Amino acid sequence: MKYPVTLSVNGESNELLVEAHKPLLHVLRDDLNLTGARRGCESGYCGACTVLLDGQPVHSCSVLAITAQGKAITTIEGLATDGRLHPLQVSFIEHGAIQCGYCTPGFILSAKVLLDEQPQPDAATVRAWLTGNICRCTGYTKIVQAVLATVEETRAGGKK
Amino acid sequence: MRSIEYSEPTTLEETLQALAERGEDAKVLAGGQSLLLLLHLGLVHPGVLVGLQSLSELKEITLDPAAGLRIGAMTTQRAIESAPLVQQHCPVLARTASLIATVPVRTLGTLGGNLCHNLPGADPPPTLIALDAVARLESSRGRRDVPVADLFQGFMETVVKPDELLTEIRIPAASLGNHAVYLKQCVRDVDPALVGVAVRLVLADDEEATCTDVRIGVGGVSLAPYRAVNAERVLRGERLGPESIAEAARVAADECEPMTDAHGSARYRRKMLDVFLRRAVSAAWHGAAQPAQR
Repeated sequence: MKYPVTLSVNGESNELLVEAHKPLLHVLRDDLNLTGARRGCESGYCGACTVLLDGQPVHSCSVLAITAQGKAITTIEGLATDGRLHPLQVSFIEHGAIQCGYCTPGFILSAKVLLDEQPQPDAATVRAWLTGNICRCTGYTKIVQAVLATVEETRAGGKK
Repeated sequence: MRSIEYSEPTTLEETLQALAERGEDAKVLAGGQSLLLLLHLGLVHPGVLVGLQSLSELKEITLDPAAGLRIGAMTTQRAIESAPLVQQHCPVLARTASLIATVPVRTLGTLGGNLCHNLPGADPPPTLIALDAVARLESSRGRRDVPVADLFQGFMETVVKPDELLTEIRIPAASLGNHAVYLKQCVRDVDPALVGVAVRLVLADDEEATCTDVRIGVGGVSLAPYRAVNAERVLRGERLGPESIAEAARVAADECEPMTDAHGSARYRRKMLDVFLRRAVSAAWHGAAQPAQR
């Protein structure tokens, strides 16, 4: 059965008609054309479909679109402000923390929440936090470096 | 796939009414971290999903000095691991919650959903069994309180009836404190437990380390979590020491009914139960509230 649903994505309100069982991931990709959230395992393991719901990381494959109403949804497309990339995005590029790029949006959104909650995490904390994101290119070393470099930059009084 | 309806009642009464009317055709949607996977795999075919997210009274954590800790069934694992009340009064439960899967799963996954799903290797069941926790089940027919140790019936089955809703978990005041541990053996940090052992000790106020009471909860080993009653019997009233602890672990390993799956063989699970039960009793004895070992 289809239901009228209002979704707030990256600050914009969207009115849609969605089936009750449709995951948020499919609505973002197929109906809203936001393909930054990637379709990976669709089982809640790989983290490629990570988006933020009210600032918290969730697997968009494991959330029904209908239950995401009334919450602020943030996808990777909503991270840059005024055309300027988020410091984490810049750092991932600078450190070569992107190989095929499939997992990147999920990693960056997960890392953003960590830095929002704990601005000065150590390497072990970063690794533990990111266990929910899998990189099939196995580029973990660069990814952790990119996150830690962002931490350093923030500590140095940079532009967060 | 046939069309699925969605309803999101705003009161407990309406929710119980919906479950009473639709029976097995209804599935309760809590955090969705287990149910939506089953739904997408086509393993469940509900006619209606009854969403609980508007029931804010099921998301509360409260402490009463006499009655103990009450945790609403819709409380997320992240809320449990980060709640000062839980960290302070029931650190073993905060730590157990922190070991579940990954941050995104814990962000939405709820305690009630975890228990009702009863996935082998789920972390909360052994801990709640060791804490003598009680699950409150409500339906339009009335309410009943079931010890968590009696909640699980078999592979992914519980005693919760289709018209019943698990509304809260109660941990008695006598179970609160630092004398309990949960240890988990798994291949990767994000996995369910191959073996999960929770131990809560009550020690006599003497120099002899006499164990006046003990609870042992086991998960991951067999089709459903259980209380290792005979291993408890070995320790109850005895002095703790390498020999009594080894004997309790031997009894538990002998009696378990381990399963084989893609993650580990029955033989390995039996062996690891022996090892982890010994470690868990020792850790609880030495008062390690937050052991470094998983």
